Parts: sequence; structure tokens; C-alpha cells
Amino acid sequence: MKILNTRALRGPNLWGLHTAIQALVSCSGQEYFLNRMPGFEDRLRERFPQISSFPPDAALVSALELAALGLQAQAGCPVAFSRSVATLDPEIYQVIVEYTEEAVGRLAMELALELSAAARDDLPFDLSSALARLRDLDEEVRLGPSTGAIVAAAVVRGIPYRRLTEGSLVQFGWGSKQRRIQAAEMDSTSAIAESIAQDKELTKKLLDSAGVPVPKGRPVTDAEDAWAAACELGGPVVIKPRDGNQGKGVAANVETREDVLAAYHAAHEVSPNVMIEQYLTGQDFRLLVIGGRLIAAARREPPHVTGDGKHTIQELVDEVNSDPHRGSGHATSLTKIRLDEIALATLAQQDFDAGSVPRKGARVILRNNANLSTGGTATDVTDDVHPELAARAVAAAQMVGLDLCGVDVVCESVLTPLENQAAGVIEVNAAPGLRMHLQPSFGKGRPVGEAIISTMFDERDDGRIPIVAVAGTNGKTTTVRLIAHLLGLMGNRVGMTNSDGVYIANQRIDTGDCSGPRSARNVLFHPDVDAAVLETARGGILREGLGFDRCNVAVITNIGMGDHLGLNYICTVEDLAVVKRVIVHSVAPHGVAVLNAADPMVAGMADVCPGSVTFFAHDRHERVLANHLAQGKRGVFVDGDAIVGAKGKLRYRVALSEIPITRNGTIQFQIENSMAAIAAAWGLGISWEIIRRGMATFISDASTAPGRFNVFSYRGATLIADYGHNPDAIQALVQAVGSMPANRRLVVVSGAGDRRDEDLRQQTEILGEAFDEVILYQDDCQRGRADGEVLALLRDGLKNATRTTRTEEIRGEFCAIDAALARLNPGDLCLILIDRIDESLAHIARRIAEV
Amino acid sequence: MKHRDIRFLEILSLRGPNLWTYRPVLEAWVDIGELEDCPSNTIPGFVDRLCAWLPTLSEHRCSYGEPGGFVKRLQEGTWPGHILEHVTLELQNLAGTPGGFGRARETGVRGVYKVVVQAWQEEVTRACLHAARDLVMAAIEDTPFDVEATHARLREIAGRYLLAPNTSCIVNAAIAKERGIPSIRLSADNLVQLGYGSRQRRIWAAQSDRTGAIAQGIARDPELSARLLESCGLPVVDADEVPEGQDTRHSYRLLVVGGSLAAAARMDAAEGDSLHAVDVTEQVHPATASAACLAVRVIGLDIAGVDVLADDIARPLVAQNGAIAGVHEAPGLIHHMQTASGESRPVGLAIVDHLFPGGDTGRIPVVGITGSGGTTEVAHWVTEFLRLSGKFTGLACGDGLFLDRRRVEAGDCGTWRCGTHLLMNRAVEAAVLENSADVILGQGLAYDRCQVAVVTGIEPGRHYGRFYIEKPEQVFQVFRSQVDVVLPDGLAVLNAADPMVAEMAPLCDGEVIFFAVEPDLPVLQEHLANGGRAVFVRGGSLILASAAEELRLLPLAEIPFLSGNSSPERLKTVLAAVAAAWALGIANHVIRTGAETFSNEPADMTASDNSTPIFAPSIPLNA
Repeated sequence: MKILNTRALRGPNLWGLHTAIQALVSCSGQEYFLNRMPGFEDRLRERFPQISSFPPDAALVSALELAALGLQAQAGCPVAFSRSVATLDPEIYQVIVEYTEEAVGRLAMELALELSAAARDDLPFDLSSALARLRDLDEEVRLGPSTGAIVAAAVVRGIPYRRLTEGSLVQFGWGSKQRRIQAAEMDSTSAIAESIAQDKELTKKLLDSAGVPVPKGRPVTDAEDAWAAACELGGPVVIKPRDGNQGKGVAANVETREDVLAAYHAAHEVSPNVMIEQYLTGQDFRLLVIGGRLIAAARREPPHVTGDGKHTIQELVDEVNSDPHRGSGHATSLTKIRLDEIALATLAQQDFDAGSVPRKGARVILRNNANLSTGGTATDVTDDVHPELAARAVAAAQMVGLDLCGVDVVCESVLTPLENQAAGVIEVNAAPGLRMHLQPSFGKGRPVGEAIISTMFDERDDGRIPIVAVAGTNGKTTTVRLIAHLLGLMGNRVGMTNSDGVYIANQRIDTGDCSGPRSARNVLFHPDVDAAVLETARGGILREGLGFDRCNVAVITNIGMGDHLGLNYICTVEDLAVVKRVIVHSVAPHGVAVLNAADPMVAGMADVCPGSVTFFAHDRHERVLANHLAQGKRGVFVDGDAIVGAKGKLRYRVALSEIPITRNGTIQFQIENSMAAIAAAWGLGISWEIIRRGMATFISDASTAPGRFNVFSYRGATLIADYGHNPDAIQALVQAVGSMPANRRLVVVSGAGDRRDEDLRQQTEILGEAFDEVILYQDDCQRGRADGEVLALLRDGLKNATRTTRTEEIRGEFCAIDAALARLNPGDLCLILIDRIDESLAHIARRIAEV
Repeated sequence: MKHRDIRFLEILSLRGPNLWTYRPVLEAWVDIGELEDCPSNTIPGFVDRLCAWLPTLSEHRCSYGEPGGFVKRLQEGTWPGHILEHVTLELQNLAGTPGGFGRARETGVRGVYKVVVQAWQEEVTRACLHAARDLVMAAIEDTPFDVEATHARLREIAGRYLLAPNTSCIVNAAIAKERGIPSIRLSADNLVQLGYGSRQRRIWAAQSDRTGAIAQGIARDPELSARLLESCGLPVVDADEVPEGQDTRHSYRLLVVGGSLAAAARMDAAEGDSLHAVDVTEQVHPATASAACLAVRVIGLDIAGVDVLADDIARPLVAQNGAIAGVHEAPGLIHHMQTASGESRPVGLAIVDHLFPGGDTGRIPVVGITGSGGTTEVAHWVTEFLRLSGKFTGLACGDGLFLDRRRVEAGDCGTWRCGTHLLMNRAVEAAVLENSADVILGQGLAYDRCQVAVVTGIEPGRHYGRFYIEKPEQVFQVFRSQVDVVLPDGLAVLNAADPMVAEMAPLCDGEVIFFAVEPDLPVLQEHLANGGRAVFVRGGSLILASAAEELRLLPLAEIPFLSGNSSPERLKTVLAAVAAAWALGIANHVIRTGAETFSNEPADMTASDNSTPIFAPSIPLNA
């Protein structure tokens, strides 16, 4: 068994809405079925007892699949979905396993393969080290507890998110409505305010001016002045260098003249500027202020042990660490105490070492900070905080200018105002750790993530911009452009992706085929996008899934006879429909799927749509449409000389004569595109007035819609250039040009090598019924076909042509165009099926200019 | 025994508008002893020595109003106090703070002068004042003086204490007449508050309080920045695209403020490693400008510099292989202020306009209350009216510092320090400050301008004997400072029954509302006849009067504060406070409700919590 390739499906995909690893696995000979490998299952279960049960006749790949899922689950990842699917190739399977972290999913797949091999060959497999690797990797790559809690709160609110880095920078919402966080910082968190918070003296000065109690104090000039200041303050004092760090040169709880003088000199060695301030006695509290409200409060204690008069400090620490609640990372509510260098230095300050035996009841501090990650503890006291005390914390945050901060308070109790105790605010911390409030060591966790999200997003705002996803075999690009045009008329700056590029507010910012998830994500990241219309091609869906979790409107123009069949194990139109259906599946509960009722493959997708459906079809009597209308649901169809939107008794008409791209209703495929776009706009809540105005003002020419039925005039003949390259598209073009008067009809056509033989042949079969002369051309790029192979197939299709009287074969697209132009007389019509859109259009424009 | 030198008896730092000027000054009380008998023309060689050490003194106009005026005064004979003033200003000039206000005035004591010099920055001015004394004494006594070393030392002090150019360019644009936005420096660094109270914004060099920390982090990560910019279709410089030094493209710095292009400079290599900025703001192609603005939006900054490499900034970037080389937070403004061609883009103003759009001045209603007596009660009353109108009101007065209903500090808080604390407080939506004569004389006002000034009454005799004040005219000068700072759209509330107060009416830039018990005072009647407003008592009722109508607000009998045998002072308090509330635009029904409900003792009604905080604020503001 071999894994041929793995892919990460990062958005909604063929298999569901979850992120998943998809592996292409080959099995050879005897490996297919487990029951042909005696003892395999037993050996597998010996090595990984927690693996789910599977039927005895399961394929070996099922063992791989369930192992990859089970390993992740055992490592603590909340995953549940997996599948194995056979392909047409009897030796090849697709294995799909959900992941929460891509890297973990990939590793789990590798380890599952190792496990399977070990079970097959009866070799050892170290399960605990495998799980440890997965766990460690998960802890390394997944969001930290603070960011994770915020993201979780956003997900509950339906706010989409995307990690912008491997770190904790996260985008919430899309386009112009996006916000960002980075751990416990919001994008509105002021850099200046953070600088202020970092300057403890400045912070204290500002808090003092705002009437927030802070420890009294002042800078001192010399040792005698320090003593004088200590006397002014009365009681124990702290003496410290003004700009020191990590507690260097700081002496706390100093009272006697001798100690004050000594402490002054120690501080003076670190910095010439020495501060003296009141030593506040009491406990350390952290008050979390978000958006001007107190959200949580915790009492914090540094890691410590209590002496019993018998055991050494080392033994006491070991005793504390034996508590199963103490883990080594962020996953548990307590962390083990480390007896490291810092701890030993802290002990030394108290005249202890690891071997000392403190007397019974003595409290031995092992670190001068109360961070959970170094073994400290936090006890939730949110409900105890006196409103006046809370008001001071809020005032402190406001004065510093932080919308999200932790206010450190030293006081005996939070039950009474600070003013009634010898208490004060000693520090304001930007980007505070949230874990102590989310998972305090003791007491209730607080909804901190929710508070941050509700500060950034109003109650009804989910940060989403309207998204329209469009898929189908033909007409996607024009439909996308039409919908974008209508959204633009409403005043939106529209982001649009299609097979020509990425457009933001009508400006192309990227070129090439941009109908995949990467371009979609770029549009949704762009700060100037108010609405997005995304052409969603099959390739991206298969490769990576969708670039968004949900859309407001999904449009499927048609499936027809299909295109690109045979690639990526998509061999039938049914398979293709399942791929395109992914966008219908991603419609939001209040969203709309716009489906072609005349195409049975498309109409059938209505069943998977979580929202409502609007059907469109030329003929209102189309069975699916008629039934839908009869139930009072929305439908769009052609009635006489207008496209009509109907729901119950309501009728909205848009005259075909007012839709220039339909050429007064003569071009059938543009009517189809118009109906799809109108239905989508209706689904978005765009007014009919704007829809009518938009349809009337939409222009499709070589500059706005290159390769989409671009009509030119050349020496009195009519040229039509189009990118159509599958039987459905060619059928539609034949219909469209059929309505245009002409003396003689010529067509220039080639074929793409990656299409199936029958599809290539079929193209010219259709053309042979409608054109007098056919010019076949072949380009350099044969996409895997031998020289002349495509031309032969095209020629083959013309064998029984009823109309074509002349056929010519030419190498090179430009030469073929030139040959056709040379044969044209006034009144003739020539359809040029171009392949290299921009270059050929430029070539045609040059020839026209030469006339 | 008399001395023959210049002694500083006292150096007052007047940190706000004062007796002398609107700007902060140092006021030195100087005793020149026997030098009183030695005017400059009588000391042989003195004028020459002084002018040799400080040749630029020849620019000083002094009372003659033309360059050379001061030298002429020296030659004709002037006294050391006056000389000290000019020398201090000149030393400040040479240290980098040109211009400024100066005065020297005799006191009633022989040989004692008040020497006043504008203090751009207190420490710098203090150092200049001391250096000037030493320099003048050396010139008098004909002893050597190291002028160069003194300049160097003062320049070093100035460099340490003055705002850095990026910050001062913004602050100067804010406080200039065109914008009139007040500023408070919050730290020894470049942290400055623009505007007051809840309307304030903060800057720190070219960073605003809305410059996000996350965006700053992104800007400092070139790889991440480049990736995000690229994903939005912006051309980004590829690090290994062109070897350094071989890139023929020009390097440009574009300054983007509040979403639009504020300035652009081309950075040409000059001699050595220095760069030489050429202003190209007008030439930037609109597409290039919008690309720079988009880049700044993508990063998420409000003020940023965008480095661009391009052959020609006047063309779109894509057309010429142009690219963005980086987006910087807290960009340098100096390239746009000092271009090679000498042009200067108003980048400071662009930032100020971004922070305070639509001509906003960042001001909250500030009420200054002064007078010889009764001011504390008036301050409490005005505060209550403001509170009743829905504003979070701060009060700094004789019996404490109050935030809303909370007394934050007890004791006399009608001081520059407490007033400044209110104006720094981001919660404060309106501020009421009581200013005694001693505060105006010894500290200066806490605010540059105010919405409403109230002068309750003047009893000159109460102010004699301190600050060398001994005449009624001097007392008038002290109290008029309060009226001088009224904004053009502000109001002065003046006691019409006090002739000295009534006389201040023409000094006010804004409107005047008179108050008095008696409606028939000629000055009041004349004011009404000229279209002015007034508050008085008629028929036992409190009247709000304008030329057009007399509005009976409420009968005095319905004001509990005046019930029983209350003193005439109390009635005056109510009249002044009601006039101030009217001046603040508080609705009549709110004023009426307030007058009907305020309790007997104003101090009680404000202080809900009588407990004195254990931690009295002690860290000096300018520590």
C-alpha cells in the first residue's frame, strides 16, 4: 500500500464542510481486503487498541483511514469524519480524513501508514511516541489558548475567520468588514497605549491624575533623600531603579533606615534614576477590562510550597507536581512548578536552597511572578469585585487608552473599594494572557472570547460580506460579470474572480485563471471589497475545497454534457455535478441557490441546498420550475418578450429588448446567463429597479468580457470571437450566430488535447451542421496528444457534415485567423473559436485596424 | 548689607495663560541690589562685551520696534533686569527656540524686578535664565565667559527636553490659530495629548492613538507585509530581483495620512550616505497614490510611510516595473518638511486634520471661575447643572477634585495641577475649574482658552501683599486674564453690580452675560439695549433676559438653597451659576430643575463619598 499524494481540503469540499486530508492510495495484489490478510486486524488492534471497529470485509484502506482518524482523536483533536472511496482504477482509492490542524492531519496519515505496515509485517509500532508526536505538533501549530478562545467565540457567532500567519494573527470577517486580532490584541488596540502601559511610571502618573489609586512615591536624588522619602511615605517601601528590568536592583518591603540606604545603593548600581514608592501589602489580583467593561477578575499566586518541617523544598515541589491537574503545557488548568535557575535564585533571596527544610506552615515562594505557565495559580473572583473597584480598573484602562488589558491590583480584598484599603493599581498590561480567566485553577471560567468578539462586532454583525459563488459548464464568466455589475450599481465595491483574473471595483489586480480558492481568499482579504462574486471552478474544489465556508447565493448555470471529463477521477457528468454541487451545499441557511431547472443534473442539486432555491428556465412549463412555482416559490423564466421573476402572484418583468447582451432576445445563451444573474440578484435582495437598470447597462465586448461572444465588423463581414471549447458551448454559439443573418458562414476551430476523443469529435459534428466552411487549426500546446491527433479527431467529426463544403487545416492560431479573414466577403459571418484569448483578440484588433 | 549682583528670589513657572501672556512663562523675581545704581551705560565696556558675546542681540527691537532697538537702550542706559530678559531670550533663540515673549517690570521694592520670559519648555528656559544671569554678571564684572560652551550646553539641554521634530511639527500645526487645538505634553518623551478630556487624541511622533499595535507589528514584518500586499494585487519589491546598488529606479517616500496621500519625496543620494529629498507630491500619478493608500489600508495603519521604487512617480507603477518596497509605521516627516528645494509640505496639518476632521478643535466645555470670593460655591453649582445636562463633569475647586460625584482628592484643588488632571482625563466631558488670584499669579491657568469664564466680584484689598500686588489696577489685570481666554464663540459671565468686573466686558472675545440682583443697573440696562443678555431678579423671580424677551425662570421662593434667612451671597451664587448654565446652552427646564432640587450645601451634593482617599496623589505631573 502506497500513498501517491495527499492534499489538504481547506474549505467545503466534495466530502463535506469539514477540513480534511485527502490521500490517493494505491493497493496492489492481495492487499485490497482485510479478510485476505489473516491476523492483520488482530495485529493492528494490538498496536492501536483504540481504533474503531470495521467490517471484516473492509478494504485495507479503511484500516488506514480509521487509523489516521483514530490517531488524531487519541491525540486530542476533535475529529470525527473519514471515508474511503474506490476509483475507476481498481488499484486506487481515495482516503479522506478530517483534520483540525493540517500539519497534524498529514502526520496522522503518515503514522497511519506506518501503523498499517507494522501490522501487516508484524513489526513493532510505538503508539505512545506516535501520539506524543501528534500531541506536540498539535500544541505547536494550533492557536494558543487566548487566540483559540476568541476564535471559538467568533465561530459560535458565525463570524468567519482565517489565520494570516502560523502565529496568532487572525482575520475575522471579510473584505471591508474584516477585523483582526493577534492573541489578546484587537486591531483597534492602540500602539501608543501599549507604549504607555510598558512605561510603568508614566502609567502611574496618568492613573494618578485620573483619580485611580496607585502606590505613592517619587524619584529620589540620593541615599539620604531615599530615607527622607521613606519617612514621608511611612511604612514599608519598594526601592527600584526607574528603568530597570526583570526586577534587577529592586528591593521590596524595606522599612529600616539601614535597609533603605542599602537598597538605594543596590538600585543605584542598575540605574542613576532611583524611585521609591509605597509597598502595598495584600494579594495580587488581575482585572480584565474589555471595551470599557470589567469582564473577569482573578486572584493570582506565584508558585509556592508550604513547609511541613520535614520535607525539603525539592520534595515539596515534587509533591505539588504529582497533582494530575498539573500538566506541562497550556492544555491543563495548572502547570508543573519548575525548580530551575530562576526558582533557585528566588529561593536564595529567601535564604533557602532546594535541599532546605522550611518550618511547618512557612510559605516558600518559587518565583516572583504568578503566571500560570510557570506554575502559578489563578482563582476566579469576578463575582466578588466591588463596583467601585471595577470602575477604577475601567478608568485605568481608559486613561492608558487600552480597549483590552489586564489591570494588576494589589489589595487585601476586592470586596471593598480600593480607596478603603492600602491598595492600588500597580500595572496595566496590554495583550494580557486570558488563560487564567478561561481556565482558572480554581473557580469559574469566564466568557472572555465572547466579550472580545462582541466588542469588535455588533450583535447582528457577523463580519460577512455578500458572496455569490457561480459554477457550471458554460456561461459562468458572463453570469459572474453580470451579477458583479448589479452589485456595483448598489454602491458596492465588488470583488470578482473568474477565469480571466481577479477584479476589485472593476480593476484587474491579477490575471490568468483565478477561479480557485486562493483567488477567492485574496478577494475576501482585500480591504476594499464590499461584496464578492466568485467563479468557482471544479479544479479548485477538487484540489483544496472552497475558499470560503458559506455563500449567500450559489448559481449553477448548467452541467450539460460536461467539460474536462476524465480528469481527477471525474469521469461522468454525474461526478461533475457532485463537484459543482459543493457550492450549493455551502449556501447559508438564509441564502439562495439559483439552479437551472432545464438541466436535470443541476435541478437535482436542490435537495442539498440548506437555504431556499430559485429555479430558472426558458420555458415556464419546464416540469421542475412549474412545480416550484406552483408551491409559491421563486422562479425566473421567459414570457414573451421579457424575462420574468415570479413568486406566487408576484411578477417582475425585464424586457429582453432592454438587455443588450441578448441582442433583442436572439441569443439564447445570453438569455440563460441573464436569467441566472437576475435570479441571483433577486436572491441578494437587489431591487428590481436596479436589476432592470443593470441589465440595460451591462456591456459585453472584447475589453470588458474578452472571449465572451465578442462581435466585430471586418470589411463588411461579421466576426464573432469566443472562447467556447466544449460541445455545449459550441451548441449555444451555433444557436446564437444562427439568428444573425449572413451570406456565407465560416468557423475557425481547434481542440484542446486534454478533452476526451468523443468530445472533440462532437464539437465539429455540431459545427458541420451550421457552417459552410471550417478552418481547423492546431497549436503548439497539444496537452499530451501526439502531433496531428487532435486535428484528426476534429476532421473525423466533420465526416457526415450536412452543410460544410470546405475544410482547411492550418498550424497556428494567428495563421488560421488570417486565413479565414482572407476568405471573407461583405455579408459573410465568421465565428472564431479562440484559444489564447488576449493574444488572439489583440491580433484580430490589429487586422481590423489595418483595414 | 547690600549686594552687587543679580539674585533670584523666586522663579515661578506659570504653565498656562497668566498676567503677562497666553503662553507659559517663567517669572523670575530678581533682586539686583546695588546694581540698581549702575545702568548699562555707566559700566565701562559692558555694552561692547555683551554685544561681542551675543552679536545677535542687535536683532532685538525692544521698545524702539526696529532691529538695534535693544542695543540703543543698552547704550542709553538700562537696568540688569531688562538686560537679563533679553539675554535669556537670545540664549533660548540660540538653543533652538526662537522668538517669544519677554518683560521686565519693577516692583514696589527698590532693586527687585519681575523678569518674565516665554518658556517653550520649562527646563530649557530655566537653564537659559541661569546662564543669562552668569553671562550678564561676567559682562558687568569684566570676567571671562565661555560663550561657546554655554551655547553647546544649552543646545544639549534643549535637545533632551524639547519635542522631537516629528512631534513638534504636528503639535505646532494643532495649536496654530488656524486649528486652535489645545495640547498637553504627557511625558518627557514625545507623548502629547491634543484636545481636552473625552475629546482628546494622542500622538507620539507620527503615530496616533488609532495606530494599531497589530498593524504596527505587521508593518515591522517585511515578509508578512509583502505577502499581504501581494495578495491584494500590489506590486512588491522582490528582495532578490535586482542586486543592491544596481537598481536604476528612483526611491520615493510617500506619506499616507487618513487614507490619502499627504506628501511624496524622491530620495536622491547626496554626498556621503546622506539623502536629499525632492518634493514630488504634485507629480504622483493618481493610480500610484491609490496603490500607496491601498497598501496602507492592507497593513491597517492610519498614518504610514510607503517606500516606492519606480522610474517615474508620475506614471502608474505597473507600467514601469514600479513596486512597493515597504510600509512603515511612525514615518519620518522631516523629508517632507525640509526638502532640498526648500519647499515644505504641511504634513503636520494633514495629520491634525486626520485626527480632528471637519474643523473640530477637540475641546470640551471648560468653565473657568474666578473672583475674590464665592467662587467655590458657584463652581459646584455650575458642575451640578452640567451633570444634570448629562455630561460626565470634572470639577477642580477649593474643596477638592471631583470626577462626576466622586471626590478624588480633598483640600484646595483649584490649582493648575488639578485642572490639568481634569483636562487629561479621557472620561471628562465637561470641566469646571476655580481659579483664585493666587493661581493666576503663581501657576497660570490650566487651559489655553475656555468656553465660559465667570467673574464673581473683586475686592482688591484681599489680594495685596502677595506677588508684589499692591494696587487695584494690578488686581484688575490679574482677574482679566480669565476673561482674556474666553473663546470667540464662548461667553463671559460678569457681575454687573461690581464696577471693576463690569469693566471687563469689552475685553471678552466672545459674548457677555451680566448678572446682578438689581435689574435697573445702568450698565446692565445698556448691555440689554445693545442686544446683550443678563440674569437678574424681578418680582421675586429669577429672570433670563435678552433684548427681545424676559423669561421668568422660576420664583426665588422655589429655590431651596435660598430658603430661610439665606445670605445675599447665596443669591449672587445662584445668579452667577444660572447665567453660566445659560451660557453653556443648557436647556431652561434643566436649569430650572437644578435650581429647584440642588441641596443646601453644594459640597455635599457633589461629594457622594466623604472619605478621603488614603492615597492622595503625590506624583508630580512633570516628574
